[in-house]
Amino acid sequence: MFGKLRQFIKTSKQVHLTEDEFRAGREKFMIYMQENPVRNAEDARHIWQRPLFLTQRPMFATIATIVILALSGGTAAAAEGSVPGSSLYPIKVYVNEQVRAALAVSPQAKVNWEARRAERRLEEVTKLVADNKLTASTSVQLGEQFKKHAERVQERIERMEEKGNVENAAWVKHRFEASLKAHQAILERFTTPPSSTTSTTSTVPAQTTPVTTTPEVNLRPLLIELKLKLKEEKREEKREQKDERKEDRREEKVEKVAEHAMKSALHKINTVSILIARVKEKFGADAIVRAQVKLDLARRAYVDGKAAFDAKIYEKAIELFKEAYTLAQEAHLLLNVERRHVILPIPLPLPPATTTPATSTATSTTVHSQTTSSVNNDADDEDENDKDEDKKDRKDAVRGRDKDFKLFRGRPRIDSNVRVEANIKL
Amino acid sequence: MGLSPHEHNFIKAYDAYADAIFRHCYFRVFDRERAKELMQETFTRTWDYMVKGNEVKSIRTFLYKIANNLIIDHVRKKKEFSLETLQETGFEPSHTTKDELHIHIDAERVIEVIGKLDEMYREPILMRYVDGLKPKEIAELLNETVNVVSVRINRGVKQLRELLK
Repeated sequence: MFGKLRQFIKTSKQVHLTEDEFRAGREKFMIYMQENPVRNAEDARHIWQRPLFLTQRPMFATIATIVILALSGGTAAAAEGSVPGSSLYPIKVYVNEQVRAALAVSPQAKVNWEARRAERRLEEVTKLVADNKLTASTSVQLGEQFKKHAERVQERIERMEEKGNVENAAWVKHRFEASLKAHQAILERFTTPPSSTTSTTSTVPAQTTPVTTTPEVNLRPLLIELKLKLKEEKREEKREQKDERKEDRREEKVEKVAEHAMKSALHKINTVSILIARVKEKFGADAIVRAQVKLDLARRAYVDGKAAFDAKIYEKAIELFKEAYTLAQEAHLLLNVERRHVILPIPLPLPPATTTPATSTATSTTVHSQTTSSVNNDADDEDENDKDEDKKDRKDAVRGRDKDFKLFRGRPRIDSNVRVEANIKL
Repeated sequence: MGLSPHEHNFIKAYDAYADAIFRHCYFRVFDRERAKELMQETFTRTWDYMVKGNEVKSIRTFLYKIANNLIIDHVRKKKEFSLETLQETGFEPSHTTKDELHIHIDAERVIEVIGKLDEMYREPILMRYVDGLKPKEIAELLNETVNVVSVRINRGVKQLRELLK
């Protein structure tokens, strides 16, 4: 009798949609959703307290209540560019970043996103310093946030290593370290001699003057954190390198790490090269030249690294590829800073031919003011087409279609060697 | 096709519950095409409801509520509808091939048995054993207490066993 009931239930459950029916219905529904999208941020408050189809973890319920996913694409995208002090900044940190954290499922995706969050704090500092809006409290706050994310990256890397995912863990560590070094280089440039700093701050209106006008003090907590993090990672790296030398069976993995580092450096160089070609006409000549110099140095390091790799000196090759990646990353960051229409009196790495220090300061000031005024003129005379293009770019960026935006986000993707090799010129 | 995060999350609800909602509709209307339409309508109406800014505490329960309302509207329109008519005119419970004929025949039996259940027990039994809903969820949908639902399920099962003898 019980068996018949079970059979009854089993049979009734055999009534179901076929795969074709399911797919057709799904497509039809997706079209319907896109034809009837969420319109206003205020109208669309979707609070799913028990998203059974997503995850059962209690933490997700907290995220789900915070997640105002029905914000229009424009608001979410606008929040992405915000910094501490902006009204959209909480949306950036507590909504956008939390959503992306929740959607990162694999351990690799989680650690990558955590590293990206740490980088975003550094980018915010850069932007605030460039706009001369960084206060002591904000610097400390961002420093703490950066430290929190960097520690999480470290924990996740250790967990990956414990689970045997050594290769990916080494790659994540290498990339994060390169990014920190690049940011450190950029931020240290902000603590240049008082004369150039003074000339920069003199252009800032009184009401926006921060608590202290000395960027050195504002950035000190953050730079200390960065240096400590890098020292810690270097110490650990040295420890690991000692262990690796002792174990013969790590040889193969070192080769793989070197190969991975090579592909990554190559791809980064290629990406920045394409970016420079694309923005050559739009950006100031100074920034382009500086970025190009960095990129050339990166290429040289890559070529040396390739030679070491071919000679099977993998440790040396990894060092050189890391250097190439870091230099390319610095070039990328220089372009990022330029992209926000801020020209910094950053001295070129090569010594100037004829100018004295006083003259060079004056020159840089002149260049700065000229460029500032030209930026203002450009802003005043901004083309209607450019405005529309910016709007389209922001929308596309949200939908992940804008190539420039994707390139500026600076995530290297590994492509085939054959295609990328052709871009390296000796 | 680029979906917004909100659309992305809602399509996951579709993937998870579309089949169950279809089955739920089918065992009330006994028409495959109509059941598919009602299922689709359930999701579009839920989407419209949420886009306007209304709160949805449990998406699963909400979908079943919408589906039930649509089924009631459908049944009211079809005045001459009855299980007897269905059995006389024929029906297609599942998308069957010749090889799946035995499923078709078994499904006929299921329909016949469901038709003989007391109306009071039919819904709780279908919701519990076909839709896989919990007594608490059934209570919310039928606007009854959990105790009442449990009692009806137990009595419905006893009746079902008798009918299946």
